[in-house]
Amino acid sequence: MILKGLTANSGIYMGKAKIITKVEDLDKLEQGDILVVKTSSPAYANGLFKAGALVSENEGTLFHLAILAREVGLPCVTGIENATTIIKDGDMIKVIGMEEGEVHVGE
Amino acid sequence: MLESKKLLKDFATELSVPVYYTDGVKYPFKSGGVIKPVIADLGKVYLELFDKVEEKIEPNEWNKVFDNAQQLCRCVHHTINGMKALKLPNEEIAKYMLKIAKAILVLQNGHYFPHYEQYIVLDNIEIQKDVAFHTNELLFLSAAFWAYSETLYFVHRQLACQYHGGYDLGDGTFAIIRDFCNLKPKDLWSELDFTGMPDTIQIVTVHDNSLKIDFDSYNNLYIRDGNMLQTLKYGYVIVDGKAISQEETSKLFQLIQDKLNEFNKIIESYSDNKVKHKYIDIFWYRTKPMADFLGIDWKPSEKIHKKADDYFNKEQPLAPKKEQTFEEFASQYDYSNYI
Repeated sequence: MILKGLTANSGIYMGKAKIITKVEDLDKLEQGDILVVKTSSPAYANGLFKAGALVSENEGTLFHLAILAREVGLPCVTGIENATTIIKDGDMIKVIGMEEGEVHVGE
Repeated sequence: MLESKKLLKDFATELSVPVYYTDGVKYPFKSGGVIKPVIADLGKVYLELFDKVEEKIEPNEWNKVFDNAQQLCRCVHHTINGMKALKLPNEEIAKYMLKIAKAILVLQNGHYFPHYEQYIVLDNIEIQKDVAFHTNELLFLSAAFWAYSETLYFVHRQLACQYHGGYDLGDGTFAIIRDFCNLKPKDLWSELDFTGMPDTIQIVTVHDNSLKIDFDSYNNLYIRDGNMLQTLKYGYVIVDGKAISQEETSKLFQLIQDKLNEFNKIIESYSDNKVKHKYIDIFWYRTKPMADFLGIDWKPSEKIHKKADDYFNKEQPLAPKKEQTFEEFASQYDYSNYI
């Protein structure tokens, strides 16, 4: 399945998805996981320091976590509608931040 | 007169870029929805303070009042909306816009609005190579302090941070400087424990020229080409005026992550209503640099909170989103024809 979004920081990364919906869940994020979030709390910044890429439901290059993803050099695709429900915890996904943003889920 | 017209027109265009292209969902709420019931009150306070400060300083002394240009710049569109709510004549709005634009240029040491690749506010910079080191934590620390600024001040993070650069170092590299201040606002967040936090921090990173960056007028950083991490050559951190080592940087990074966790858990435990009232306080906190300069209290009155509360407690219909081109949007901030 290919989900289309907007590239907020370029780069390609493949890894295990981790859906985070509240601050407490950040402890479950492992080094190199792909952080998948719905919203834009600065609390999730701590997740970016472990993550390999960022996927968000929020759209926009000025989405605050996207700004931080640029700062720490993480590939970032925003505006993936229902990302936190379509993508499941532990799914292997590929984040493609090129001219167009894509997230490939599954084989 | 022509110069003033051009300044106002350019100012309107540059201000409109970040506001027009902003994302639709904001942390913790869209600021416009929170400030709407008291925007005229805020506009009145802001302009009164601005007038009083202006009487006490020379036109080139705005740096006696504000820590950085962003503290003034990022207030402008709310100030304009406040002036509109106060039903000020367009000529009056234009007059204030021009004064504010000139004050911003003073705070940028005469450098013009950010426009492609650079946001220059210093004429000369001195890179302290002797205290520099290379670690990804330099960028992680920057991002963590940025998030910390947003935790304390929501969208008004300019109260705590300003990024500027890239300053060309002439050897195929350039520097980005991040200045953080107001990191322990006890008068705004009496419930948070700021133990161990510095008052100010400066993070300088030097990148090779393959990294292409842009800043907009609200200090948002964009990458046009390259990657911050991969182009990082070296950097350093100045805490309360003193350079710290790589090991101390790691400790500071751990501290800031802990504070982010701790503070956000507290804020997440608040009701929406409580967060909205905190947001009102933050809006007024933006007047603090001017209020402090004049030696008066910055806090909003109980009456302001009551007025906002009455509004928050009523179900508000969502205003339909206006479809506008960038040019149409920017024209609402363009008062160049009224000067």
